[in-house]
Amino acid sequence: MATDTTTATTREPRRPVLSRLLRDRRARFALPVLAAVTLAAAASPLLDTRSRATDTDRLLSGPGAAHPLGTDELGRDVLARIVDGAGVTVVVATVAVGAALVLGTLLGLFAGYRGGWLDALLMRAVDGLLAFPLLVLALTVVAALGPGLRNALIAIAVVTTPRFARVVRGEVLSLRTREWVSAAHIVGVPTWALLRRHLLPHLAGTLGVFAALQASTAIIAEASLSFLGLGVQPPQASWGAMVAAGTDHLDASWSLSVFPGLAILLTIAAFNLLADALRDALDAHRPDLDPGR
Amino acid sequence: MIGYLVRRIAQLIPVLFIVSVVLFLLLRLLPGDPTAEILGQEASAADRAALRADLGLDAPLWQQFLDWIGGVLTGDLGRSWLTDEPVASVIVDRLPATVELGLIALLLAVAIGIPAGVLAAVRRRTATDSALTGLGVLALSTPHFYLAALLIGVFAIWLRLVPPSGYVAFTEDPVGNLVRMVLPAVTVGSTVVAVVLRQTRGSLLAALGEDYIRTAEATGLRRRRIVTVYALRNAMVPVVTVTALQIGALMSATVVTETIFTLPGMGTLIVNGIFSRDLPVVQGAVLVVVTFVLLVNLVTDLVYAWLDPRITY
Amino acid sequence: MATPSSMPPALLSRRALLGGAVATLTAVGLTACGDTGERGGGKRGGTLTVGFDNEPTTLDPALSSAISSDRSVLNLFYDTLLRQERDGSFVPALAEKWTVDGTTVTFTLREGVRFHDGTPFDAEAAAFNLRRVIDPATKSTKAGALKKLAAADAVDPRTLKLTLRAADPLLLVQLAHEPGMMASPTAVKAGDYGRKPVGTGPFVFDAWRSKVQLSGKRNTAYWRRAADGGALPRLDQVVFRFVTDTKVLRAEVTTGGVQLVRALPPEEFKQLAGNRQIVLDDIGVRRSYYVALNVTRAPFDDPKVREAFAMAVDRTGVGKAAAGGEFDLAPSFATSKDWFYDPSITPPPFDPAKAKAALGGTPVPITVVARRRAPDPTIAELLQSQLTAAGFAPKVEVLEAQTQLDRMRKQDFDATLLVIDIPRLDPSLSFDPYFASKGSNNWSGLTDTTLDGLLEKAVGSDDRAVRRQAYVDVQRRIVGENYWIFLHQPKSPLIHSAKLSGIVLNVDGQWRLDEAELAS
Repeated sequence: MATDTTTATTREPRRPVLSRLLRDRRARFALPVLAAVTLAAAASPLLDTRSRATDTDRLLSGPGAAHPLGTDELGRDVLARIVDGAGVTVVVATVAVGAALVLGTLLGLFAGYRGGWLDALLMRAVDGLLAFPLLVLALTVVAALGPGLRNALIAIAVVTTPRFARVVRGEVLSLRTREWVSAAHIVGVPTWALLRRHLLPHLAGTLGVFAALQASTAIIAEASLSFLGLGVQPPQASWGAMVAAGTDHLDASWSLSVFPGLAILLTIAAFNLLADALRDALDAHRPDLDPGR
Repeated sequence: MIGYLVRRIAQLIPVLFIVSVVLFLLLRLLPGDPTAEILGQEASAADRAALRADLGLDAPLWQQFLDWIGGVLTGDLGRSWLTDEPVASVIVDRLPATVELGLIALLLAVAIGIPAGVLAAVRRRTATDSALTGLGVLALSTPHFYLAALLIGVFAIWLRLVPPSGYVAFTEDPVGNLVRMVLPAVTVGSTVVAVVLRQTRGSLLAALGEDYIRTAEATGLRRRRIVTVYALRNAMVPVVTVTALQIGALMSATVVTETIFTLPGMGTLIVNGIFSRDLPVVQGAVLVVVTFVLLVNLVTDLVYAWLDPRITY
Repeated sequence: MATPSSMPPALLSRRALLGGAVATLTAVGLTACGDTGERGGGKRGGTLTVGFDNEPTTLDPALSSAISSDRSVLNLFYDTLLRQERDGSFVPALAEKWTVDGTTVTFTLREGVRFHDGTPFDAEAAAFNLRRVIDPATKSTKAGALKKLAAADAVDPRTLKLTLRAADPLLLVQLAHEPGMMASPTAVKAGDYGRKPVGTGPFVFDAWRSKVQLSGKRNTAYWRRAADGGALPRLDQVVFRFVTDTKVLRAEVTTGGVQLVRALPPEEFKQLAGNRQIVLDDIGVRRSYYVALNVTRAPFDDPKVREAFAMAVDRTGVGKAAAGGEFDLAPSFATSKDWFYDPSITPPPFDPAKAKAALGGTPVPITVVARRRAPDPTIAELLQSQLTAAGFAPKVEVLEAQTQLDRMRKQDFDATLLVIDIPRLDPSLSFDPYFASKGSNNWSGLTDTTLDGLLEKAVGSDDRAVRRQAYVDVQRRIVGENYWIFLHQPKSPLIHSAKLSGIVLNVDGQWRLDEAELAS
């Protein structure tokens, strides 16, 4: 189904892509949101610890002057908890997706370039893993390893790696048949040099878009695991777990689930919009990269 | 075409094998002792040891795997450790809720997504287009559990229009069933709506740019007719494909959604099975789900190949 | 079904109460031919739908788990030789009378009773059931309850003789509940019994779909009569719907989808107050939250550290956060209405500063395990915060039930948070398993001979005053040593539709539904 129009991007110099991106309305929404999340994650250790202390005399109070977003079921400041939770989100988007990106790219390059039975074997394994609904596989991995942030990160990396592998392999296959690649090969350019110098830069655009989409999927997965109680463990704050606490107290406090959920929503929307904007900035008809969940 | 068909089906077998190995091994890693849940906290160590032997947990791993896979191949998914019911009949019990949820969600997605996508494409670069596309991104970016919490908060707790959760079988009380299915179906359908909308808009725009549409326009055919008859028909192929490929995502969505709305479906079966370490049930249920996803993908690919003569194999 | 026959109700009721052989035979013959006996009052008919959060894993009473809520289901299908009323006294059931003579107990059985499958209930059937419980091959979960029973013999069809290894003051209590429930020997021998129960009880098993529902239909040949002579049971059908989510349970009872609910947590039942369609009846049942400290290793092998823990916990705060004010504070597994309750037993007062001073500056690392089920994680999180403020360095692990139990059995924890429902049938059932050195649930790993002696003394006598003193001493010892920190006791009222009446309760609050009726 992939159409071969990717050549345009490789010839394009880098600058226009970036400036086009910065002029895009979607990116102008997404980038500040992501910057704010990162900033919150960085700033959270500096926050006054008193706002995070439990206080059974101010349980589930609504938004007010002392606590702009209200307090939670143990009397902690919701805004402070949201700021704390940003750290988890940043780690998921960078560490888990980063690991999957590196691992998946290596696997994809290897399978796509090497071909043959090894490729077939790897791709069947990838197919096997991709056949699991993402959350079902993540749930099983976390159930096997035990709950917690580290294991949630592993689970997310495990479910995301095959996705990268497949996309990269697809790109490699379509590139391999190109004349300039075969030509370089014939001229005697070593395989790895060829990969590094020609294929990887070519892949960068595709991977950028895909990584942004996977970051949004990964954040949803982590939030869902935490919501089910299998991700980040208390007292560490996680947006998903906060929404879960909020749904337990929906009658008593509307605000407890609404604000952390909004934080998740904005972050995911930012990644989705960034992916869209980046794709358009690269101006290429990429293979379908819609995120499955 | 026949060769392709055979090849695709043959490819399924190693994939299913890998799926079952992964599934089996992962679940054997689960910590904790299933006999504690089955016998209750006051059982003696001897009772628990005896039960382990009864359940075949003493056998080596490879033999447990062969036993299980042998059973699966002969249609026997084993028995629940917790209730001793045949896993197959438990799954049959749970399928209706999930299938109903999935179907209503898909129906909603198609009924809303396609017209909205067409509208966005026709009114391209207008406020309508921006609003619809924006809503699509919003729907894609809202985690299911969050949407569910908001819907319950507004419709069940604030407006008191529907019960917050629970399930009644359709055969028992059709109206009660549908009333309780509305919020879960909207929750599950939200992302599918967005995907259908984006895809419809995208492929319709592409189709409207094709030569034959321009020709049609040049011959003076009315625009509405061009859109609905010619362009849409061709744009539908990728829409159908992309919708069908959402089946895996749909299953992920049902897991969370069923848990929140406490629907007795496959999702809650898997989640509760993991929590209570009822491995035969989890293995059976996940295997059924994965097989179903693979089959839908296969059928989609075949239909696509059949519909689109440009693709050769 | 409906062939009206006339029988003077007064005679019937008198005979039924006396339990004479002739009358029972007549009663059985009578009910077998139709539901009459209307005149005793009490509305007949209707289907009661119950919302139940704790689905049994088996309906075989000999194998049922230790969870007492199973009995609310088992009571539908089974009878026992005798019944225990809420005040602790015993009344006849399948046995009309009995004599206890040291290590011999003789029961005279009611005549003419049949199991739902037609098998006659006689001394041989009764002996079969009790032998089955004590037979090691059965692996009965109730074997421990009848551990002093040496033999059960049928002297003649109406006379059952039990021989004990030693006098057992708890024998009758046990026989009035699961260990003494009578199942049809024919059905038990047929196999797969746990899912196809056959007893003599008020309802005949109908169907059971796991995680969905279980139902029983009226036993038209039920032997028991109401006090006014009316036939029992009054309901046509009882359906238990298995719903674990407490919000759903609350919603269902509000909308009338279910008419009776087991155990809603305070945050849910509080919202039902003021609804005139719904009755909230505080029947004295409490959920007792506790933290057991592992005394087998550092740091809680040191009584000073245990005392610091006790002073670190703000029990009122925990109650407020976890039970929204609907709770009591009590020193132990006693509710304020229990006969072994003594308000003078008090834990150390909440004093984080003093706790911190006692710990001496460096934070003491401890691992707290808790179960993943609301509101336990919330309580654990709050404890963590309170303990940190008092100089501990707590690490909380929220685990699945089985994993937590595993860890506790291996004594791989420092503090564990759990809950039990109280009161139990007898205080020995709440104290012995948890505090005796050889107790099955001795989470703390206690080997306290003083405590063992007191516990033994408490079950060694029939005299309530002696027992009370022993249990007060037991509690004083536990609280004084701070082996356990007893937290709050959320209320757990009986919640049902105002149309439902006639629920009879066991000592521990489990239901009997044979006399229940639904107003239209």
